[in-house]
Order: sequence, then C-alpha cells, then structure tokens
Amino acid sequence: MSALNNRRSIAEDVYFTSVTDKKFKVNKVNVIFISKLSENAAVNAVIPRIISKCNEKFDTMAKLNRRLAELYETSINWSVRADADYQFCELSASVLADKFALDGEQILKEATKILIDCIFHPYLENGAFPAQSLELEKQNQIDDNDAEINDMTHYAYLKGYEEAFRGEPAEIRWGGTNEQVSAITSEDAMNAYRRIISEMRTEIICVGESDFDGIAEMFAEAFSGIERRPMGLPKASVSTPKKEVSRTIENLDIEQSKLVMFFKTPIRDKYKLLVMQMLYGGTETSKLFLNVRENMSLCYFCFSRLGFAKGFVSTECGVDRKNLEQTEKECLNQLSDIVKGDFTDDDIMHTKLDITNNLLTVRDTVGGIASHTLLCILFPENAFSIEEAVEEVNSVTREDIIEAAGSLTLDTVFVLSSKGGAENE
Amino acid sequence: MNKEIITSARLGESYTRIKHDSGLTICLYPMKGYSSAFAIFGTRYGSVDTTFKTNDDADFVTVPEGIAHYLEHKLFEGEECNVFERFAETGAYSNASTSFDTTAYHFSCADHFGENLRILLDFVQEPYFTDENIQKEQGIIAQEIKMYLDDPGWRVFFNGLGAVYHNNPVRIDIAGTVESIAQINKDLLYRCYNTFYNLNNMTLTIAGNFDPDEALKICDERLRPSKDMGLKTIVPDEPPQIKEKRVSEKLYCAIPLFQLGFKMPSFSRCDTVKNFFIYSIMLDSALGSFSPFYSRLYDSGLINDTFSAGVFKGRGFFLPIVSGDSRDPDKTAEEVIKELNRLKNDGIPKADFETDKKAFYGSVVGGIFNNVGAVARSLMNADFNGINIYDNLEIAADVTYDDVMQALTDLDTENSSLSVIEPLER
Repeated sequence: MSALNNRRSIAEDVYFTSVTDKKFKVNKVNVIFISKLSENAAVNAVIPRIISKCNEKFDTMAKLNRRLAELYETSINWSVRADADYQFCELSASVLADKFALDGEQILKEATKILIDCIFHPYLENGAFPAQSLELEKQNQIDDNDAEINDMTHYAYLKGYEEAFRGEPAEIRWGGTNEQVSAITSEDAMNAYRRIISEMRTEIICVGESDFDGIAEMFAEAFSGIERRPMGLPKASVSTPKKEVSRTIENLDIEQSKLVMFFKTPIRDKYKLLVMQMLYGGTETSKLFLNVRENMSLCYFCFSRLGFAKGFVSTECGVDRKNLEQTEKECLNQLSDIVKGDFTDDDIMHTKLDITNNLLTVRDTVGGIASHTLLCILFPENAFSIEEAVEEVNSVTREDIIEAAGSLTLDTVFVLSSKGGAENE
Repeated sequence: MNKEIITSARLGESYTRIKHDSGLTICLYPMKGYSSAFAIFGTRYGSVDTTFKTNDDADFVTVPEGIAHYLEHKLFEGEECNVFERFAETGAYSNASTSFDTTAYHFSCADHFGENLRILLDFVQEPYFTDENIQKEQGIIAQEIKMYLDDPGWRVFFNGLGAVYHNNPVRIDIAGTVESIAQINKDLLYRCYNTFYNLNNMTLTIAGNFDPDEALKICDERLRPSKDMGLKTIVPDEPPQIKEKRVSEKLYCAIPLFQLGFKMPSFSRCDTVKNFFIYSIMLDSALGSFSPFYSRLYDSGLINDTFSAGVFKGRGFFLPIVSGDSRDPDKTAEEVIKELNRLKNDGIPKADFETDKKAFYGSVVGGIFNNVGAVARSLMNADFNGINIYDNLEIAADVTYDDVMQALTDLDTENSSLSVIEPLER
C-alpha cells in the first residue's frame, strides 16, 4: 500500500504523512519546506542552520545539545538541498524508540516538542536572530558553498549541472552564491524565516516504530498560530537540449581528471528511462562498467545517473588526462550500442532484477521509506507503491529501452582537467 | 560443529554463533519484518598485514603494500566470468571493502538468498589470478589511488597517521602506492591468499530476512575445510613517541582541514573494545557537542559542524583523534590540548559523563540494531574483536567515571601530531 493513502492536510498546504513499521528501533520526524529555487536560495539556506541550534526554551546550543544527549542521543538535524527546480529546507528529529528508554521517557514526544520549538519558537533578541548567530551561520554557509571543491567528483558534477541548466531555476545552487549570503541582513533573515513557515509547501513525514499518535496534532497546533499564505509549488520544468553542445574545460592542479556529460530527454516515462539508464551505467554489469572500466581499464569509476524531473541522464568518470578523449568517445559508443539494440535479453533481465532488488530494500531503512514517500508526493504521475513500481519496471520492453536511449541528446560536456605531470602525459 | 545461542535481555533478541567443522566461524542473525538479507564473508587481513608467517614458513616474510586491497579487486574475477555477472543473475547488490585489518565481501538481496550465498562462498574460495588479469587491474587501482590523492579529507587522515607512526604500516594508504602495486604479481597474490584466506582466519555473518537452516545447509555444501596453519602477523616495532609534530599539504579546499592524533600504545584484542568505549566517552564528555568547550569554539568561529572527536582503532593501533575544518588549525589544536589538560586537573563533570553514557546507549541501539547491513558488519567486527555483538551494550554500560578519568590522565597531550591541509590557490 502506498504511504500516500495516509497523507492528510493539517493546515493550508501543510501535509502530514506517517509510516509505521514495528521492526525499527528508531523514529524519524522530517519537516520539509519546499519552494521553487530563486534568488532567495541563500537566505533560505541560512535559516535552518540558525534555528536548529537553539530555541526559546533551550537558548544556547550547549543547553539544547545536552537535552538531546539526555534523550538517548536524539539529533535535531538540518539539511538544505536543491533537486530539479526545487529547494528543500529540512529539519528533522531522529530518536530512539520509546520502548528502549531506560527510565520510561517518552522520547518521541519530547523530541518532537523540541523540534517544534526550534521551528516555531526560535531564540530571538529584540525580535531578530542574534547578530552573532546570523553572521556565524552566514560564514558557515559561505564555507559550505566553497567546500564543493573538497570533493572533485562532486565539484565536476555540479559545474556540469550548472552548465546543463543555465538559465533555468535548476542552475541555482542549494546555498545560493557567496555574494547573496554576504548581503543577508537581519531583516532579510527574519523575512525569510516568516516566509518559510507561512508560505512554503510543507511536508511532514514520520517513519519508524511508533504509531505517531498525537504527533500530527502537535504540528497542527503549532501551525494554527501561523497565518498561512501558500506561495504554491509549480511543477518542475523539463529541460530542453541546447542547439549546440556546451563544452567547458577547467584546469586545476590535480592528479585525476574528471569527465561529466549531460544528455537530455523529452520522455516522461520514469521506468523506461530508469531501465535504460541502469543498463547503460547504473550497475556493475552495465555497459559503462564492463567496457570503460573493466575491459579498457580507463578508470576506477564510470557511472550514469537519471534526473527524471529535469529529464536528463548524466555520466561521470575519473581518468588520466591523456585518456579523456578516448573515454568520452567510448561512453558515447556504449550509448550508441544501446540505440542500435546491441544488448541481450539477459542484460535487460539483469538490469530489471537489480532495480527490483533496490526497490524492495527501500523498506528496510527509515531513510529509504521517507525518501520514497517524498518522491511519490512530488511526482504523483510516477507515484507507485513499491510493488507497483516493480511491475512498471518489469513491463519495460527492449523497444522501450532503445526508444529511451535514442531520445537522449548530448547537451553538456564538462571536463575538470589535471594540469599535467609526467604520468598524465 | 559447535553451536551457541547468544541472547540479549535488553533487546529481546538472539542470534546463533557456530564454529563450523571447516574452521569458519558463522553468525546467523534473522531479523523479523525485514525484506532483505545482508551477508558478509570476511578475513582478518588488511593493509597492515605486510609481515607474516605460518607453520610452513621458516621465518617471517614481508610483502609490498597494497596486496590485501589488490586481492579484494581480483577475487571478483572468476575463470569463466566476473563475479558481478553471477550476482546479476539474481539481482543482488555485491561489493567488498578492505580496511587496515580486515577484508570483507558482501551481498544484499531481497530474493534468491540461497543462490547468492552459494556465489559468495564460491568466489571467495576460488581465486583465479593470471598475469594478464593482474596487469589489467593495475590501471584501475592506480586511478583509485589518484582519486584519493586529490581528496583533502583522505589526505589529512593519512598524512596524520604518517606523522604519528614511524614504522606501523597503518601509515600507508590501504591501496598502497602506484609504485608498490607495480611490484604485485601472481605469486605474491596466491601466497597472501593462501595465508590469510584460511577459514580459521575468517567469519561469515548473515543478518535480516533468511532461513538459518538453509544458510547452514549451504555452508555444509560449499565450505572447503581448512587446516589451521598457525598464522602469525607482526607489526614492526614502533617507538612510543610521535614521528613529527606537524605536517601540512596544500590541496583544493574551502578552509583548512586538520587532524590531531594522540599517540598511545595499542591494546590487546580483549581490551581494545572496552578502551574504545572508555576513550570515546571521555572525548565526548570533554569536547562533545554539549561541552562548554564546543560551544565556545563554535561561537568564536574556530570550528564548525565538521568538528569531531573519536577513536581510530584496529589490530596494532589505537589513536584518539580530533578533527574537522578550521580557519586556524593550530589555534584549535592548542585549545583542544589546553582543555584536555584543564580537565585532567578539574575533572570531567560527573553529570556530563552520565549523560554521555546514556547518549552512547542510544547511539548503539539505534545505530547498530536497526539495519541489516549494520548488524552483519557489527557481528563480524565483534567476532574479530573476540566479543559478541551484545557485549557492545554491556561494555559501554559498565564504563565508570573512574575509567574515564584514568583514560584522560593517561592521555599524553604532548605526544600528539597535527596534520593540516591548507587551501591551494586557484
């Protein structure tokens, strides 16, 4: 049964969904504020950082963290991310199930109360976030933006992504630009905070051992004090390919070059695209893994991913600079082979078995269930229970795979090139 | 065959530990309600095991660095097809990992459990090395090594180990170096395989949705009895003092990364886990997220959410480590040492210690026993450490305030190395 059967409105454009599974020993309460990516991304990203650190009742980070530790290492976490045209600002509480409390504490209710206080009763001074907190978290946000370069593989992907979706909301980074972060004033921050809790689509997704009795009511009561003016959540736009392939090379003093390619597709059937993409580069028996890595020994990693909402498939690999051209050619050859139908029925079966295995194991983690639930909410046209999704995967035909591969148009090539060194020449 | 049921009254759960006639230790932990099963076949063999002997050897032999990891890659290649192709027939996800002191092969599946277990047991017991397939792997592993050379988080860690240790092989990258892997050949791989992949040196753990009787039947069919070869490994003599006080490297990163390691002797196998909990609770009480120290440094902008304090441990090494990002790593290291020295005199507040013990209990129950993969991994680690998986809860519960203060007293804050990665200008 789909978790969405259990989704209900608790305030205007605020929804509560719970999934109970007694096998778990933990519970997780996720509060996700969703908006279209915009010039407000930077200030939106800073707010969860500030409000997750303390609240009116626990007015310092030390006091809040002490109480959370007393509650068996409960954690109040923030996360901000961008996906397709959306920005997700999330605050969550991860708690041990009450039945494991040594002194009979009601851990879930207590942690939810703290989470609600962080969101609805933040610690303020004269009606504003303390200046020191705001400046500190602005700096932390700038450092996080800059830290994209700490992971070269991810950095190359993000640079390619930015080029692929230039001019679209998806181009905007989850934390905005450093200039936007620096310019945030105290008034901007309070306005953003009010906008988040009063205007953004809000999804509260609870997963775990608990029946979550009373949790929806706690949130409903919290939201009853807020005048909601929902801004609405437009559908993510599917990206169209550029007239000419965008090619960018960035030179850095690194050991290993990275090659990232983005292809775009107009096909709107998720499972046709998924089976094709996994056959191309999503498994250890995929075309990219077996040929580019295993047969040609060009790289350690070479894989593809699907961005269904924006309509893209990307490939990523790390190679010696001297092999960049050969690797790009081989990645394109492998795709071309799929378009020509150069794959076996066993290849299709293996790919479907792999996807089925992935889908069936989603139910074994709290995080997996929460992510699947959110995806079903955001993309209702592809919202299926796990069993239905498996059926959809199994209904994909050889012709569907060829059609999906043939629909891909190369849009962007981004190369992070090592500057040299004897071993790269 | 020796069977033992191990039970936890706290969790109301149990599992079976078997000493199989083949020499292998098997731990079976069925978990109700889960869709998938997770199995790990592991050996006590990692990157530090470069010097060893068996009953058949006259003397200890030393081999090039990176062989344990190279073996991990090569075992996935069978005579007729690669192992991934065999798992593709069932849809299972499979992979492997090499650490400093273990190598482990695993699969995760929601169906075809029996077939997957047969594949796992077969491929780990059937090495197939040729000069050609060994040569082919060098290019792939060289790329893996190069990928990590650009990773500041990886480099600050290994540079730090290199500053702490003079001779302990833990200071060398698990995959070896581009130069050391060039020395690896078929004979060396078979030599190390035959030494360390003896079932008496290995453990199979399975957790989640599976039938224990079926698993055991398959083990009976597939396991090839091993004679205990009296394997001995040695870690080269290590001076008690650190090698270097401070090391640094420039790589692309947002702000500097640091790692402060406090050198101390390793513990015996049976004392390692207990001391791991003692030192972890000590570090968390002293420097953790609710300590006055953490708030002071966070509010001053010296540290951020990446700050952490913990223990890096394994066979032949035990190293309390404080790490994170900081605009001023030297100042941060100075503050850490100053705080630890202050607490040596003033004492850690008893209430903080009690709170931390509660937090530890929550993180062990919620972190280990809530996920089939985590249970299977923890079963293997526990077995390799000579304990059962539930001992983690009991040992943590038995840690006393005096234990923690003694650990703090024993920590030589001067015998520490600071590793720093500074940002490279673009």
